[in-house]
Amino acid sequence: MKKLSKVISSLAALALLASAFVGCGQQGQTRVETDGSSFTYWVNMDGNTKNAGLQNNSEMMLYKEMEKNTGIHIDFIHPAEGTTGNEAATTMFLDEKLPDIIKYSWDAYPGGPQQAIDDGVIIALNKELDLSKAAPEYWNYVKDGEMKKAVTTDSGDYYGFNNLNLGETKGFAGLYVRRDKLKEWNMDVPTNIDEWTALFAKAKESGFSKPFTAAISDLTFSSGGSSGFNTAYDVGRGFYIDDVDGKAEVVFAPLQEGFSEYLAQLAAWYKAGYIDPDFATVASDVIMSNMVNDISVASHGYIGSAIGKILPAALDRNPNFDLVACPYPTTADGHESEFQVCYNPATSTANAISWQCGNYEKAAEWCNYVYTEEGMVLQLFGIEGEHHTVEMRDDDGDGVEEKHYVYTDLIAEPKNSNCNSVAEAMYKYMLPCNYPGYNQHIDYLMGYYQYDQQKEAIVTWNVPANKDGTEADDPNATDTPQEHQLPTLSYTNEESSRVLELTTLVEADLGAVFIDVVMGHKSLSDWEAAVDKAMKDGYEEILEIRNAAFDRYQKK
Amino acid sequence: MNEQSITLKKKPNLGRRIGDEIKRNFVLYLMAIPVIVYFVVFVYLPMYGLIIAFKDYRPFNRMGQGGIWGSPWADYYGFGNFVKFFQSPLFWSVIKNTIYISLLGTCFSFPAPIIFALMLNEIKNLKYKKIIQTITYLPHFISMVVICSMIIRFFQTEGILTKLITLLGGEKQNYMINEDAYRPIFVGSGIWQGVGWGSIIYISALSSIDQELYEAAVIDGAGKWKQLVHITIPGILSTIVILLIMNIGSILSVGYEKTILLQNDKTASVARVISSYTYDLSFGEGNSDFAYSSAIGIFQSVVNIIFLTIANTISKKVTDSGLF
Amino acid sequence: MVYKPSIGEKVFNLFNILFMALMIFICFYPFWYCVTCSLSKQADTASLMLLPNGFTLATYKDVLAREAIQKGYLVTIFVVVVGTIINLIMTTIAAFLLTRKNFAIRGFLTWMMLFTMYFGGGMIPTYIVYTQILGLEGSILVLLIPGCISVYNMIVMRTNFNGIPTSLEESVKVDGGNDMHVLWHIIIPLSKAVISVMVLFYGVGHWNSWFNASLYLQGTEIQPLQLRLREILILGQTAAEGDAGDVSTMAENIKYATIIVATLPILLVYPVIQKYFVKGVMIGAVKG
Repeated sequence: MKKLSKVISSLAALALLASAFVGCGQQGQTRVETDGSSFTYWVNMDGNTKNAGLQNNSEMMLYKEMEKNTGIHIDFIHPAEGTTGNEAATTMFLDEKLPDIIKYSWDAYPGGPQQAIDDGVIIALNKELDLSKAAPEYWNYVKDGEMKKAVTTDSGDYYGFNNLNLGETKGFAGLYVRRDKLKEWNMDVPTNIDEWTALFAKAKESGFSKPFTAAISDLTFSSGGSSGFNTAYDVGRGFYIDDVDGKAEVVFAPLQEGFSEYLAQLAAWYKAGYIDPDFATVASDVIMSNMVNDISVASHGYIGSAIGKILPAALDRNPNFDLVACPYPTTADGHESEFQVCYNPATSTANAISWQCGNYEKAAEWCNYVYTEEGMVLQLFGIEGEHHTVEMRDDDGDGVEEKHYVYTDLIAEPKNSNCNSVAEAMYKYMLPCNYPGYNQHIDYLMGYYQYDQQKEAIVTWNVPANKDGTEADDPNATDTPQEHQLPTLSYTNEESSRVLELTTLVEADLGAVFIDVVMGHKSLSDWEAAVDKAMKDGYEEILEIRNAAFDRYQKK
Repeated sequence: MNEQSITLKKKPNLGRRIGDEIKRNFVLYLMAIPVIVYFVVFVYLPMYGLIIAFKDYRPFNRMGQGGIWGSPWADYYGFGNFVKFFQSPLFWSVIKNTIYISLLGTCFSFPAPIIFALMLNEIKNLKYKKIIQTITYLPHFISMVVICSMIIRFFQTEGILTKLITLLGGEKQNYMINEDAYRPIFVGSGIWQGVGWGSIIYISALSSIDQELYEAAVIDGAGKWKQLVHITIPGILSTIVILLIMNIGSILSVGYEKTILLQNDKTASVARVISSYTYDLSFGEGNSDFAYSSAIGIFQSVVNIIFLTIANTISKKVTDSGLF
Repeated sequence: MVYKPSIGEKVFNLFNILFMALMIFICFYPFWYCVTCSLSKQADTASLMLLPNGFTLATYKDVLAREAIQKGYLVTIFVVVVGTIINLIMTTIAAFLLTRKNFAIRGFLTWMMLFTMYFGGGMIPTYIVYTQILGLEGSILVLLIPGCISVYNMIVMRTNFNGIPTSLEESVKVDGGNDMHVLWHIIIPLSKAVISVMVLFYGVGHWNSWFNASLYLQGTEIQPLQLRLREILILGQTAAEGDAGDVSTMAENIKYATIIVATLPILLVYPVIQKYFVKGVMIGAVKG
């Protein structure tokens, strides 16, 4: 019996083993030329669009009009949004027949966009097409300067039609404070550390038990760019670009002059009881609750998800509640902050043309449409008279009136579109943000944000333009927030997994010391020792990898 | 079983023995077909993917290079990814943390639903009992994100459970950044969320105990305690043993979701478990190292199977019941 | 004879009742929190939310009016009903096979199944097999067949089957019945409790599943409720630094109303199946 069952078992095991090798399938390699009158387009369906009740983007006004204007029909393929958002894409790339046009965040492709081209998934636009003819408007935006660097691979290939942050506004987050309380206490909006300290002291005295509430990610050393008080010490956070012996290089915040002083200031505030004792674990809804319930007087956050959420919740209980966005704190000697969170010129989210697409020219023509004046207006503001009206205004005070787009009541009063929010009403008809094309248009933002406080914040948190005002700036200049900002770099597979591994190894330990120092459990010299150790254990190598990637970026 | 094999050994012809076996258990073989087909086609066919752990994985390429088949073998005769894990400075730390949390789970989370089911069994009012059952299983359905944000709020400086702790003489602090508090919070909240759901199996097992046994015991004058020890527990023992073996056989599997949600920089050194480590390596910045994470997965499974086998062997010796 | 409880027992019973009351309270809380948040005009999710913060039912009207949610319900209910039936048939057969002592391939089957508890091919190979070999892309079968035998559940069931006295089987065998008869006339009628547990486990599993749908049913009409729920919940979390820079300002109360709408129906399954946990099923069978 035993022997028998063994025989049967091993036979079956053999069958299993053999069957396992059937799975070795070869991918389809065919490409059929077409007349380009119709394409498949793989693109996520926006959550707002779904909530507005649409089942497919083909029902959207934007795409109906685009079909009329370009003569090209689009069949949409909408992936479901998974946990990491990547499963659907990973499997799509395995399919025998690729969609013709793919909207994807190409940095997330294993090995980056260059690898996607090398793998034969998408085409290098500049190799298959003359972009200046096939997509002249897009080409015009990206042919040189920082924009070119931002949308090409390390070897200089254009991989798609990217989200271009062309709007003049670049800032989106910062410190904000209760304006009604400032008025009550006869105080001005704080602009430097001393004024902030005075404000916190006054707030504490007036019964705000945690004057400043903010999440650890907005304070600690590891997040990118800048978030707030560090700007007063002329230092950024995480990895950013700075001048090293006359050359722009990637630097690491904890090693920079000023970071220890920043940390010491946080510790001093914590000791005085100004900082939320739960800052290490506080979540966004708790921050909101602290602001609404008169526990905190100031915080750090985004225009939409912080100010836009706190205001309605608070006004419901206290009609006098008011918020104001604060400028980034200036240094002790009064010079304006060089560090500030801001948008990169472009993101890696792009409409790319797949290798199997039957007509590259036509596909490029269709992708280019949203970069034309007509296409931009249609994608961001819809049809004149129906979704928007045009106004001539002089907003910047230079005496010349500029053309501005104002959303009609179909959008501004979402009930008219059977929607619950302005965002839903917008995305029911068009895709004004986060899709390839013109992003961060000021008129869109003014229409999207409901409250005057938010509209003010756009202005306050906007990043001053490059000082010399030219696009083709000196690549080694590092004196504006945009020049400090780490651009979207591309890493090889080995590099990015090494960075991940090292970060996992050292980041949390150093973060723990940061928390301890703020809370007064450890001293600044402990912090410096911990930074030294973390450098040796990993950050030195991470810095090297990032600098190598930045060199490649600069050489584009 | 042994007697049968002795008698079978006398029959010389293998083919005939197979024939006999199939004839005798014809119905069973018929029933086994869909089961075997299911496992072979849906589970074993994709299993060639395990090879990836032994490869120096390059992303798939439409020219036919890279991918699971096209990638070169890893160093160390294909075991490079395993070696990388063993040599990782965090290796011992994640192994220790994982086993620690697992053992705490086995000691506290595992018996909790059993004790709960036994206590519930003593509730005489049927309506009350049903209400308890239905309500205690509710937390299982609340998403982990909601549950964990609750836990964090409750244990912050002003949190309701921190207040309770202070009332009982504890220190007022943010317990979520206290390394010593992390494990009790992790395990305790797990019991809170899972005890009702976990007790369902035992409640069902309790219901199939022969009621005559209790009647007889009462006549013999046995008290509640004796009934518990001599009737109730033996009645659900086989279920307990099987589930315990499976619990021990998952010693290296602590889910990542809750860890990711509850940990912070201060507690990471005690919170980091194998699965969350893999998660950090897979879903952080940029792309993921599929080969490395599946090598870690295989290591996890192998250790789990070893523990499963040990637990099973012990159980067979002690209670005469086991998984295999 | 009237049974007289001792003092110790009385104390225990009192303690037990109080303890259970506490359990009700702490286990009901998270659910109640979701309910009050969903009914609030402005949900202060950071507070305890013992009562709604301003009362409204508009959130539910809004959620239930969405076509995606209604369609999601239909898909999910279909999958739960049909899927669970398939699960029960397959798992019962598998568990039964493993209880047959003189079945030659029993050991092989046990290991074949146990092995899959620990090893799997991973997402990509599974996807390739399911789509390129089995052609399951776009078919609702992908929500029904994969996972139709959970080894864990199968083992729980087998343990229960093993507890049924073999003497009962003998009577069927004596009457000339085969294994099929044993399963149908003895095992299943005596396993109502465990079968109802399986209904619960598998039913809840199907109700909560979304992953396969998100991979294999892209662009089809077959979108289960949980997938919709995830999309609604994820929508609030897509703050990408430097990209979107901002998140949608979806109201918390709508989120929680969606959670409740997507959870409530499955919660009602347990109270229904509880009646199969009645004591003394076995006695009747033995005596009858």
